[in-house]
Amino acid sequence: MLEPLLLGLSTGPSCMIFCGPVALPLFMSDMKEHRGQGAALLRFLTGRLIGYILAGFILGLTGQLLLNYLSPLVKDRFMLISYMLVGLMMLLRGLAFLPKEKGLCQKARKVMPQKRAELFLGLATGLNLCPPFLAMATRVTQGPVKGMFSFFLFFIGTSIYLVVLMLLPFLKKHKEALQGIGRITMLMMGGYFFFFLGILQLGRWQG
Amino acid sequence: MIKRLFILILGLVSMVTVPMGFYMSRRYETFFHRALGLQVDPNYSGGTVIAQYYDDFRDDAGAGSLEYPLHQYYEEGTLDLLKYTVYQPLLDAPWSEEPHFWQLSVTMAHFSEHRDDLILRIYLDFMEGGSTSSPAPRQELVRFDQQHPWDLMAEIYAPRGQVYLYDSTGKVVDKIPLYENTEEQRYIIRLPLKGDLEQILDGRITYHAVITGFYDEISAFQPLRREASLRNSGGAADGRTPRIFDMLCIEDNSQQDILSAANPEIPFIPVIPGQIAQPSNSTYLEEIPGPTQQEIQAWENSLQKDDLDPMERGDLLFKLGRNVEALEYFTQLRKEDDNPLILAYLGTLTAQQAADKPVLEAVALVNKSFELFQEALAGNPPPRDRAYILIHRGHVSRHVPNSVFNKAVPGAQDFLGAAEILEPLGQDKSFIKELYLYAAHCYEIAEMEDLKELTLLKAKVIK
Amino acid sequence: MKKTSSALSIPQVLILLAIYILPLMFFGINAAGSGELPYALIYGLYLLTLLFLMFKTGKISKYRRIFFVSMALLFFPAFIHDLIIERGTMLIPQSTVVNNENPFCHIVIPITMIPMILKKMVIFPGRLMGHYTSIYSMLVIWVFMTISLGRGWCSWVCFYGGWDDGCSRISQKTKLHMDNRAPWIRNLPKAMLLFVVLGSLITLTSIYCEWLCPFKLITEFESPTNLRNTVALILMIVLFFGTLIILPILSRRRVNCGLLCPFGAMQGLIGSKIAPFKVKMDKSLCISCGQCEKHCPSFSMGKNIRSSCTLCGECIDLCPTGALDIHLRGKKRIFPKAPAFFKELLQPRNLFILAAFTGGTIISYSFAIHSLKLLVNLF
Repeated sequence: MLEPLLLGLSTGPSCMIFCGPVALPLFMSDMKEHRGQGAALLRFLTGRLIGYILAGFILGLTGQLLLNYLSPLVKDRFMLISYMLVGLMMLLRGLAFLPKEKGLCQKARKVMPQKRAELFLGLATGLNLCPPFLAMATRVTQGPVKGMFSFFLFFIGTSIYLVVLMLLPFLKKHKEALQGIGRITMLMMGGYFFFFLGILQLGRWQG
Repeated sequence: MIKRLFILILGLVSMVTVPMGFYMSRRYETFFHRALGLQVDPNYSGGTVIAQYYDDFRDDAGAGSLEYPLHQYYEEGTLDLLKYTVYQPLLDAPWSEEPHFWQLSVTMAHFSEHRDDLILRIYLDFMEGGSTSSPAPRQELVRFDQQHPWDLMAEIYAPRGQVYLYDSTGKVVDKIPLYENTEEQRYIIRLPLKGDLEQILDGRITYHAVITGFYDEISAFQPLRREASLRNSGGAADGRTPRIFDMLCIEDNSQQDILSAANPEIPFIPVIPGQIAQPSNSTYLEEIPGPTQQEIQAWENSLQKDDLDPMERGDLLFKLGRNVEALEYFTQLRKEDDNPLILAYLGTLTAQQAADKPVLEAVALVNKSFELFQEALAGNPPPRDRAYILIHRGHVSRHVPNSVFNKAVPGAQDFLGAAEILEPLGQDKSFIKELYLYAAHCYEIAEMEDLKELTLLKAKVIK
Repeated sequence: MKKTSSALSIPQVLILLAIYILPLMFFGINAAGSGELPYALIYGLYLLTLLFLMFKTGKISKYRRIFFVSMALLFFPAFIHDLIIERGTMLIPQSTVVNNENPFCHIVIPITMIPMILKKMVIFPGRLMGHYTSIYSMLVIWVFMTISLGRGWCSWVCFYGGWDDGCSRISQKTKLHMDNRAPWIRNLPKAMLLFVVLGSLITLTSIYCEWLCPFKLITEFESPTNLRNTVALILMIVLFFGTLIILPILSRRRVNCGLLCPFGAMQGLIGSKIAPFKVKMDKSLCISCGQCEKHCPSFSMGKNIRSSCTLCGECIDLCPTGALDIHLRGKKRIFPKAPAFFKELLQPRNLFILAAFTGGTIISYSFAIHSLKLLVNLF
């Protein structure tokens, strides 16, 4: 019964390896007070929860069928798409911080306001086929409701580690520097996800 | 003033720290390894190992009747398989030209400089169907179990540094590079996960057969003759004898029957399933027999004799564990005789005294013991005595705590050095084997897994 | 107020040189291979001369730069030569990767740090031990250097840094103004560090080595056999000429070391906290002439001296009033009341120069004499 929770707790640190690089620049780039940070984290976690519940529902419905169908190479391709989506969102968010008034930056601000970014990036990390996620997925076999419930527990287990991000407001003394660093990192990370982990790897599909 | 002195000392220490860093970086790597225990991510070394098989039965030139060609170019052990390793298939391997692959590696008993004449084939069964004979006409005269027909064969063709991949119809379907690790004496291949081979990603059990022989341009595997000549291998019973010198064999039932025996039928080559737990080798020291009750009794009896050689008397006291007497005896003997071996006995006995002493005293005793060994070796003893001194020192090194004295690696080297001296002197093989096992134990203490394993493998081939 | 001279007297210089000679002899002679002894002696004499001039004239940066640039220029001929002897090419052969034999360089340290701590895994295909470029060896050197020199590594010990350091002083005039105080310049090094560390976590591979390292051009790089590697090769060439040559010439700043090197950023964050030596400003002497900020090659001089200071000595040499100097735990003189001879002899800057120059000497010796021999044989 509690296995998903324990699994979440035990694989949480590995989870952070995948979610951390997205969440850290995202929250650093827009430093808030405790309250605001709490709300932002909640949005991120909501997105992530939606992703997990969705995954639990589908996996519970199809059971091992889907997993068997998903060969590692197909998973690999799914990852490429998810990297590109995450990259695009981070790029847009990064561009939105540039001081230019018009053009791409302005559009980016419209398309990807901070709150939306928090929710959508949360959703994207929730659907990311990272190793802990796959470990969990192999344990879901008993129908959609149970599947969703297991993934919910798994979500709780892994999310506890993200609470570390609530420490960010304590660093408000360095707010300006951290925000500046976060914004540049956001752009770089977006570019890396989109071009280097996404576009440039597309060539592999032919193989 | 004290604060200023402290600052001065800090500055001077900073200055000394710089050369110290360089000095320590090269000399204390094992110490740091023990403290940190870092490993290179398996994604860079071909994946996690899922199975390792040790072929204990030498090649057929050792265990059976086959003979290597007589020319010195063909060195013994070149065709001898020692270990076969199967790795977890890797996806998206970093720095790799082939992003998705399955790594397999074969460790040889001897990595001769002239290994160009080797041919090594790995037959893999991983799906339905397949073939039960080797691809004609370039074949080695074997066939495969009906239960496990092969689907893909990787032919390690050393002269060109290439691996040719054959499908079950005998057609070459791909050519991939061969990687060699001379230090670890192994060939490494990385099978690209393409086409049918993608299927193994579901974690199925795969079956492997590995065989080696001498390469021949016409028939791939050199035909065997009855008598070996300069360039041709021999020892075959007849023309149907399989042209292979070694195969991966993990149970002692078939190697000799299959290889050089005069079989009226072409034999089956056994296959090895690809997912067995790694065999444990931590019990290797138990292979070394202790003295039997009779032996101890015989020693006791000899000790009573009056006409005993003085060194022999000391040795008996030592072997019987009468340490106090032995120490006294050798100390006395040292005054009369300058045999360096006496110093070796004294070294060991001195170190043994440390066992129940307080730390500082124990450290001093152990240091003194190593000084005695040093003195013994400086006395330029004859080779056999030199080997015995090394063995004494090796045992002390093996027993003193490595975290304090850092002697495990030198200990291993002492045992190996002694083996190297004693082997050509015609020493009993089982004794040489023991030395290798002790050396492996020293490496285990030093947490140098690779060297431990290689040394154990070397011990295994001594029969 | 006019600056008091930092030049030392001959007896003082001789004492300091005598201390330096010990490691020079120990490591220098050790480094000499067969037939390399004459070159070891020539290089030793060259280093002694530079150190002599540094102490005698009191000018740190000028002679340091000569040493630093020559170290960078002498590094790659030997390295490439050895690679070609060992592998026949500068391209990284797959066999080297398969056998985990790639040289581990210090720049990868911050990138590999988190997986090392969390999983005890090194995300780099290098040798763990038994080689001068092995992982443990480099880690140990790094720890010891950081304790003693901090970010001083980046101006005294790094065998890459000479490229942009040298180029930053080719032109007399600044043609491209890069404002030290601009927020993006202040944040870029740390952002770069954060980016390569986080990015490398996702794929568990060093993205700096794969995409962003310009020094691959003078060491080893992957063969451009596919799109990915071709893009990496183009990036490498652009970064090499852009950030190590063209931008430093135009801006008179060390663009790569000051802005893009993750190792430098880490040294700024960790090293400057740990190491006892720091450049400090005596505000009472400062006349706000702005020379230090204008000429600081590593973007470290703003309103205050930043943690990214590489202790190169440029500002100390340029300061007209002597407001800037190297301090040891906040002290400009360890024994201010001692007789002048000892007071000057034991001043922190001399101790730092000795320590840092020794570091550079030891790290450069073997490849420098090897390169010298190669160059002499070439002509």
